[in-house]
Amino acid sequence: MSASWLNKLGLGGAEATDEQLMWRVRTQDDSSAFAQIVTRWQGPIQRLGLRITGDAHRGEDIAQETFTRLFAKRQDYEASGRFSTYLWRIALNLCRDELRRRVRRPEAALNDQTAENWECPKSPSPDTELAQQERAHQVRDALQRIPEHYREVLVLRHYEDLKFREIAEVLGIPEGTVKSRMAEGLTQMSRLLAQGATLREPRPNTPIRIFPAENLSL
Amino acid sequence: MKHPNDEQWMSFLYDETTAAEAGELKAHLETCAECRAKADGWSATRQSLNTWQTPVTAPTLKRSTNGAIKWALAASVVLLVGFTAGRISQPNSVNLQVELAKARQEIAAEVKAQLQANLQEIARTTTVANQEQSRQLFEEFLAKYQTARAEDQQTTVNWLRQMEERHKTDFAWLRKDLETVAVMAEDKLNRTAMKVQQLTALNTP
Repeated sequence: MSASWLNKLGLGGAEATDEQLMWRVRTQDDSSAFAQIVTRWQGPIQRLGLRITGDAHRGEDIAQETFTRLFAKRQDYEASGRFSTYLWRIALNLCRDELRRRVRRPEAALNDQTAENWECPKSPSPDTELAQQERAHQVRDALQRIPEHYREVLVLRHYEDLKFREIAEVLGIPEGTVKSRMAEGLTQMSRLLAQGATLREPRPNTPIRIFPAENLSL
Repeated sequence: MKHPNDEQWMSFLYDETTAAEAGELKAHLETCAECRAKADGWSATRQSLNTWQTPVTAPTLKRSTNGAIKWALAASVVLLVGFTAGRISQPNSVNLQVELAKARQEIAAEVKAQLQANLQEIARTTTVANQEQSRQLFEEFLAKYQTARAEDQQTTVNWLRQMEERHKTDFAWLRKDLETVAVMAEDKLNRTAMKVQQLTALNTP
């Protein structure tokens, strides 16, 4: 369907909300509307997958699978609800499936140490940049070691900037519980990062992996 | 002293409190070393979390922009060479400064206009290419989805046919069994009728 008359009325084109686009996908199988949704959300969903699983390739797979499911289940989407909540839920469920698969196949966990997982803000000197890069490694490792329900809240609030109320909606739990999980998640991260820093300080040339399993006390 | 709970601190750290609540919590931090230590710890962890940024790539646009800049620089060099050659070949040095300034302005305006046009063209081309790519990806996805759906439907149809065949066979067996029962029953009835007749005959004086 041509969207030109919608554009003239200010209802179409690039300004359409996610809900409007999804309505077009649901009722008319509109390919350009679906493409717009994918363009808008691919980055956030991929980042969520990467941060929850700690693996860039799994992040890409999760994003792809999320959009496949979104299209397959487009009739299940209720226009009264927020589109983002619906999409985050699909993506989180896929992340949980992936983590469950890992429990069954532990050799698949954390096997991706390639540079594409890592990017630090650019810093003035190479030394500072290296230090930041190491810190980023520590953060990723620590994040993979805190329980999943704390990690989900932490990633959604801190990295994806969802409000606590929105996270509560996505996870289907009270807002107070979300905040408690956030506090506990941050506390556990503090402890793990402090352990990592202590372990690294006396031996500057030690390998990148800084959390030997025997030193963890979660 | 009553300490605010963790939930209140989280709202405060992530700017989700009202101004009044934020004021109360700030005032508490100034008087309570215990809460201050806790909040400082969380803030430090939040800063650490910021060190892990995921890659943000826009390769197509980046390449195109670089190309535009290179092109613009090359154009500027060519124009400057031409201009210098003209300047050398011009004997009148009095008018030279005026013409130089004029030519410089013209060149600047021309390069600027060209660069803008080029950037607009690149932006347009990139947008069209992205749209085209998205469309193609969607079409591929749609084709795969439809193939998978058609396969599912075919499997369901095959299963239904098998079930129908089985029902037909079952029905045929059932009918045969019923016919057998009917024949046997009829035979029994006939025999019973005969016995009744015989008994009747015997009892009749």
